[in-house]
Amino acid sequence: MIKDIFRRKGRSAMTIIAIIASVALLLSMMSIAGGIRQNAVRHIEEGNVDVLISPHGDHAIYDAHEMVRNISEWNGVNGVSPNLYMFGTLMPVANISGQIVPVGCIGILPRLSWDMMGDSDREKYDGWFSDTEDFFDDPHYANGAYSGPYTGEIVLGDTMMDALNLSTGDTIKIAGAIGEPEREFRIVGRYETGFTGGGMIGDMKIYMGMMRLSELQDLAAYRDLRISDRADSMSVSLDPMADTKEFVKELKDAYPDYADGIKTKEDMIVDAQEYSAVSTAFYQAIGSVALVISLLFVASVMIMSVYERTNEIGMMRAIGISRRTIFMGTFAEGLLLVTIGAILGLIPGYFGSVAFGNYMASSVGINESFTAFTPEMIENALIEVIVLGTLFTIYPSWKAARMNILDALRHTG
Amino acid sequence: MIKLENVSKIYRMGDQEVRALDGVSLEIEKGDFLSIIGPSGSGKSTLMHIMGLIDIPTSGKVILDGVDIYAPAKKGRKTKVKDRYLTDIRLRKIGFVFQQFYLLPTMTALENVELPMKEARVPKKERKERSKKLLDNVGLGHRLDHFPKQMSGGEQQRVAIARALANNPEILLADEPTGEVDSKTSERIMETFRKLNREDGITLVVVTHDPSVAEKADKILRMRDGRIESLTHMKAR
Repeated sequence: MIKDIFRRKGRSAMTIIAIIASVALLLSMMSIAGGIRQNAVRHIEEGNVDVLISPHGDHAIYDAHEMVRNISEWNGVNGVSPNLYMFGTLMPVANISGQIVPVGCIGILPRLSWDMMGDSDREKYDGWFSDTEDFFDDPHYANGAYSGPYTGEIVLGDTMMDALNLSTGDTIKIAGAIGEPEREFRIVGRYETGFTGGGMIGDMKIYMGMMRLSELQDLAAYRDLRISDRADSMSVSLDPMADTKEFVKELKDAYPDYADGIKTKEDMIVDAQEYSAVSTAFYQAIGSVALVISLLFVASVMIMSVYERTNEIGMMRAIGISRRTIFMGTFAEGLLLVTIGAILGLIPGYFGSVAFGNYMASSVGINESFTAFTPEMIENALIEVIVLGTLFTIYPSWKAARMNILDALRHTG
Repeated sequence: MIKLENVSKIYRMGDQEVRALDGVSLEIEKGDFLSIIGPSGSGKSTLMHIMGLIDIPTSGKVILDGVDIYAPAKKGRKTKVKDRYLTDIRLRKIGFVFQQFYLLPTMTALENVELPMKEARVPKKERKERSKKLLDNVGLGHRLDHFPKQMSGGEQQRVAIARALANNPEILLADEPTGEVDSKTSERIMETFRKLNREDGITLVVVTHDPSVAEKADKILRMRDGRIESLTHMKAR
């Protein structure tokens, strides 16, 4: 029965092409999903953050400077860096051309943040905040405003600066929200975002002193200055020889209020994988739908093929060929088509994933690869194709095997 | 060899019952050459299908080599005889020749003949040799590697005969074997049957509507309205 594949060359070729296309799409989608997951995990793996203290929900870390000072003195701690974010708040920036631009602000203690960075990250910045060793003296307020060491300093990404026609040394005004009190900032540095496309996608971040951001937040939220020394998260870098588990245990004992929000690098990787699971599932679903459609095509072709061979099947049953042999013959035919298509689909699957990755990278405007093509992915794709192919071939095979002999012999279709 | 006792076959077509066979009793001895003749709808093909175990009688007994084929279904709790059991009997004891030949177009003459032997797990070397011999016996020794579409109707029917003989069946059932060939080829096919019957002792049952074909057999069974009208013993040839 397998020879029937060659008997109907055109139909078999079309079937194989359909499978090739769907396998290629499946692999491309799997590689994009893999790429997203891989990138998310890689950033965490390559980063210097070994432990992250990130209280849940609306909770924040208060007396952040004091906590930084305390933890910095613990054995095995290489560095501590707090971060304050403007989550969910559009932060307009009035630039020199008068545009209002929503941005995301990250408040940092610049010295500590710089220390926490790796060399490759530092190379991305052409300038940084004024260097000061006495960051513990940071919380300065005078006349209801922040007047600490990082007053008025700000670092922006390159695409934002290019889009707004800004240069290092320029001054811009930032407010917590439209219509709220503004503060003036001077651009002291520019960093490479890695985005090569136009616009400002993914480049919404502005770095500023943590207390300065707190000032802006409070001005917007309370219309007066109630600055508190708070952070949304705190990153900790440990000595390679340090016992992370022991450190985490001590941290939880010392700060029980934040215990639920303490995460190791492994926890962060798991979180990143979970966050990327939705997009992974989405891309895999697209690929799987394409595969199912092509396998429905295979099943239709097989049913048609069985229908056309009704007389032959009737004859075979009459002369003593068993149902099992008929089933296996038809099944093998379908599975062979699927397997040939699946194997041939690996080639366009590879090039398709590269092309998809390049297209997505260029359309979003980043240099990073969006795709990952691994042997494990090929294995998974092949298993998926073969398993689904097997399922879709069962029905036509069963239909062939269960044919009534006399009806099949009398068939005149 | 084959004995039918009071066999009836009723088909249901909507609300109507069609009695294709009506209490037919018949005994075919080993080495018989019987032709079944009758008008269209007389039940001759149904009779052959029941003898060939590709159709199940509504009532009555089919006894093959002393074994009541459908007895297990009647005795026990089973309602049906297992398909595997009937298939195996067809494979090893019965040969079929059809009017439309039904050769597999993707297989050569040799491969078509090998097909039933392959199912019967005959070793490759043995089945190749036997297939060649069978094709040689029907005068197609020079057409082993030809595909059906490369052969004439008569040649295709002879390949089908060789295929029917592949597993040394005790009985050969032919349904209108000359229906698709010219008169000269028809005569040659009937000669082949006669030779198989006389020289190899194969029991032959040929269903035909052509009296000239029927007359080649030793016995002629006439059917009408699902019943046996007459059984004529021809003169010894």
